[in-house]
Amino acid sequence: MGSNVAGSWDVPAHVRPDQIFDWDIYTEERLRTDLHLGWHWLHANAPDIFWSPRNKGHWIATRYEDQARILKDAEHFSSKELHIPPMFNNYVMIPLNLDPPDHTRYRAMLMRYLGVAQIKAMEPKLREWANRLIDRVIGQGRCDFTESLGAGFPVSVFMELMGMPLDQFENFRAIVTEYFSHISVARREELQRAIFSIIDGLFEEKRRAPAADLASALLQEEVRGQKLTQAELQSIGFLLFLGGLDTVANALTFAIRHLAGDKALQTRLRAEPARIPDFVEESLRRYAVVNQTRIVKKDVVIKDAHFTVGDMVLCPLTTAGMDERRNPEPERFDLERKDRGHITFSIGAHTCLGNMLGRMEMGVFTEIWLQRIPEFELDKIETLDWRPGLVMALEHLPLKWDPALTKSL
Amino acid sequence: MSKLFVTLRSGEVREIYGTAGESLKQVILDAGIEEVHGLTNCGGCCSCGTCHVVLDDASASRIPQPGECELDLLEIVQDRRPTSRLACQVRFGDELNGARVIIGPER
Repeated sequence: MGSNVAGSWDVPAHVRPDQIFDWDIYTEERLRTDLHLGWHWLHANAPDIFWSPRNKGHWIATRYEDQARILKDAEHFSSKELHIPPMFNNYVMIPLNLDPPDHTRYRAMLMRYLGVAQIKAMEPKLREWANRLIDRVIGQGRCDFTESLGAGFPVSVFMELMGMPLDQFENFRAIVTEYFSHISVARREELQRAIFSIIDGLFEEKRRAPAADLASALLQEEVRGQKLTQAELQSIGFLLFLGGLDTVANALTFAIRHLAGDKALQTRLRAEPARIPDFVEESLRRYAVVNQTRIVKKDVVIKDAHFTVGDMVLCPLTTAGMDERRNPEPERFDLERKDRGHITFSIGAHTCLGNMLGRMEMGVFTEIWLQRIPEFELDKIETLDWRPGLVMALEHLPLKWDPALTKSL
Repeated sequence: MSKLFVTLRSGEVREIYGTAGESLKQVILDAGIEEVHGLTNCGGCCSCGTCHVVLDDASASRIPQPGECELDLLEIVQDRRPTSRLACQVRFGDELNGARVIIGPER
């Protein structure tokens, strides 16, 4: 794999043989070895835009400029289908699967709750949860960061945001963790039903007893003078679930994994917490999470690639941040990087709604972690368990530190 | 080349020049004024609402009025004024020569 082979593939006629490059986004060995370097390898070894014959065939654009162009162009590239290979299951997530102008009115409504001021107001809660979760592992001197913290922290933030009963944390966290792990399609559908029923139950409860939370607010919201229907509420709830949990968990796990291997940076950030926002930004650039997909809805040619109606297109956002034409020496983690460019929260109409919240989660957690945990490093360094796919993950991150040097609250 | 007076959030007023045909946001960005959009922005697609600006009355009345998507987003900007616009949706041209543009508050 990872080669230019004009082999016995069933490739559409509008794809030229020299545009075909064998690259399986789910199983490619280079991605399993190191997700981000694996993707970056393509910059030197494959065309800027190429056709992968795997997973029913799709385009991959690896350059910052091409991704930005594609993702900003809702006229030619639609979000109606976001799976590779396509699922065509007709389930519409609002506003994720909508194109403008329908998209914009729902998006604007949700953005009210995710602006700078609203996010800032959540900060004390985030600090409380970061401390609470760290309390559980701090005395052990080791943990699997992904499982005990990376995944749990965004779950707690999501529950606070939506106003879910916090005594359901363990139960909900277990569902979330399993949902995003390697499971069968049947099991995922089963869990999806469980999640829908939790979301429905939550709105039911908030109808009875409204509170100061997003779920209650959504019940009062109107889009073009109409209250949201139950189906719309469920869809929006599920999107917030998908968008806010696994993504943040992975971004945070990637960031802490970097720190585990860079003790000088740990020391520096402990001494200069004001640089944590730069750390978060550089980590987002260096270790992006999402591979964005689009389906071509109107033919267009970019760099000799004939995007044709119905073609699937993948923009691995990590290759935008790792594009050496945009960020010189992209492999280097550089707090001082000038004119840093990344589209880790995507760009265009579907730019991540929760980007301010995601950044704050990463910043707050990193700050508290560094305050309380002494110098830490990878435990049992064998091979890291990278999970390629549309949302990329590190399944386990074993860390260790000296429990005698920790700080209690 | 047409001239604009841009008031930054600090209160400082800058005189800048732009070429007709570009978006107002691009003209302001080209003058090195980064605060005209958010750290993460949609790239001028009328989707993030971070390029909120307020125009002077006379200039606002000389240009095409906001479309459907822009109106949706203007509903959520901070301190919306009657002449609030999203800079990415305003095409810069001679009719904006001498216009006064205030960068809106961070959303």
